[in-house]
Amino acid sequence: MTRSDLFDVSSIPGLDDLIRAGHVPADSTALASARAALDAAIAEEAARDATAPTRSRGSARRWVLRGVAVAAVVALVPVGRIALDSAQPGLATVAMAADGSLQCSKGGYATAIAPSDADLRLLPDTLPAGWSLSTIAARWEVSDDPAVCRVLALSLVRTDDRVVTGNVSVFGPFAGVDADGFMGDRAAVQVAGSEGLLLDSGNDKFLRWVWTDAGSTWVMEAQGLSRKQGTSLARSVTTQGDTASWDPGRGDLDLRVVAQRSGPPPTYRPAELSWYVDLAGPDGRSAHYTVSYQPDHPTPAAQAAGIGVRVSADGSELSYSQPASDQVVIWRDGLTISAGPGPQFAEAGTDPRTWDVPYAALQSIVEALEPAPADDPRLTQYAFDEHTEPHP
Amino acid sequence: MDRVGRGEHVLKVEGFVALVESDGPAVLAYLARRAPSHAEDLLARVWLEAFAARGGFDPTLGRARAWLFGVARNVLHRHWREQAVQQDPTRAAGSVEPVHDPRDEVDRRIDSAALAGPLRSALEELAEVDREMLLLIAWEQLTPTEAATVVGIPPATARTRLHRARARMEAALAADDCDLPPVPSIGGPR
Repeated sequence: MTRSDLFDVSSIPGLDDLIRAGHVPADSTALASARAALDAAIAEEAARDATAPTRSRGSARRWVLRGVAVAAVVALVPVGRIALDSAQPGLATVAMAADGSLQCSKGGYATAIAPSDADLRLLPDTLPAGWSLSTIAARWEVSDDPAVCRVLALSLVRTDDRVVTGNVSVFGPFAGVDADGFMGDRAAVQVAGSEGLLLDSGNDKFLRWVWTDAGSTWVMEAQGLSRKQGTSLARSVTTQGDTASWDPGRGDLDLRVVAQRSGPPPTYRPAELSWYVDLAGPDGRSAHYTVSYQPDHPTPAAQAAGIGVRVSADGSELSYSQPASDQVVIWRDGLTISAGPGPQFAEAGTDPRTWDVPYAALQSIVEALEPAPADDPRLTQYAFDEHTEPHP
Repeated sequence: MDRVGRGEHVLKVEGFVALVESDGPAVLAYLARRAPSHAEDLLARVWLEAFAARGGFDPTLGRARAWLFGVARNVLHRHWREQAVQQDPTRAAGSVEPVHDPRDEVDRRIDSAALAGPLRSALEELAEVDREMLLLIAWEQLTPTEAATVVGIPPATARTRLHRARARMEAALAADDCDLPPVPSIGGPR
């Protein structure tokens, strides 16, 4: 428990009484019964692995959703989806997390490919003193997420001297949105000319709306806008068929359109190339950088940036934002580079030195990245030892 | 726990079993406090879903314990939805309103502990998410950061909410002229 956690907890009035009220007796029978079910599942998986082809190790069904705008907040998507008055066939149904963000992750698979076979091979041509490459690995990751979660219907941004001060994302159309998991205030409002819900999680950064128009459900997410500005926004956005639009004349919001999808929602399976590099540094420190390349569903940098981040004049690029004190992120449309300290295992006994990597070192590593030729010897010397497949 | 590939943090089977053994009683208690007559079945569902989803556990986001409670919370919410649909099959088609008010069970628990009155009133004053966070801290002994992970809000927001909840609890208890209990001694991970 951190000092701030301790402070947060230690002065809650009535907590002792509440703790006493929560007492439940131990139930070893229930524990044993649940454990038996788990043991059966473990045995089943072990039997399956024993008969599966080798490829299964490299293409395990693990998908880390890296989408910034639709990042999942909790581990699992609630099942039991509830449609919001929609009858249009062929559209996806998604769920909302407790804070109102969309949960689109439906799984996928990753295929390990040899680093020298990857289409994108970024390696540093120089490294800070004491640092060296440790391992290189590449994955081709194909998602089962609906592509409509990745390709925004409409993206609006407000900037002040190239610094993002507000942004708006419109997602859809969906067959329905399960908002049952949302924990926050709901209010019936008019949005895009339809009856909808305004969802306020209490997090002052975001306002969200969900509404149904002509049998399709839409979700809008605004960051950096006040409730009053949000009301103007809800009046100035329109949806028709598969398209979302914004009328700048309706409400003085100083937003501008940075992306607008035309045509029906995409149906392809989103795929990306991920490039992972670990580095070893002085005094046992470690670092990593990851490159993700999504050629078919680029999110505008200004949209992904978040409030307070400086972007290029056209809003397509950002560099060296610091979403956390120990991370470097570069974002160009379709290409994301992030760097940070080595793995942070939250286990007792973790050496804290591995958490402490100077920001300047990370920045130097990222700045030195250059495309490496396929026959660069580092690609084989540091290749992660695993079974790989040809690049699809 | 081990790492497989780059950027993929995976709980190995033995690590997962160790997690089950260490945190099983706490997760069972969490379920028993909120759905006492179904806790055993729900615990099995939690283990199976967590085992299947263990590849999604990211240690950079916090301890496995908080992740496990997040899974348990999802299982619990789904259970409540299923219960509601069983009682009223028409619910599945239209409503986006919560299908279960977990306050009932909490209130019963507080009543049975003869603590109804100021404390119950104070809890009723809280927003659902604030109340849930408070219960995760008090009953499940999670830190505010972990409780934030479980309910799916950023830690900074959680602290703001907790601060607000604390102020409301103080006001509600003071209004009832209640003698506040001494500052609890829960300062440290358990």
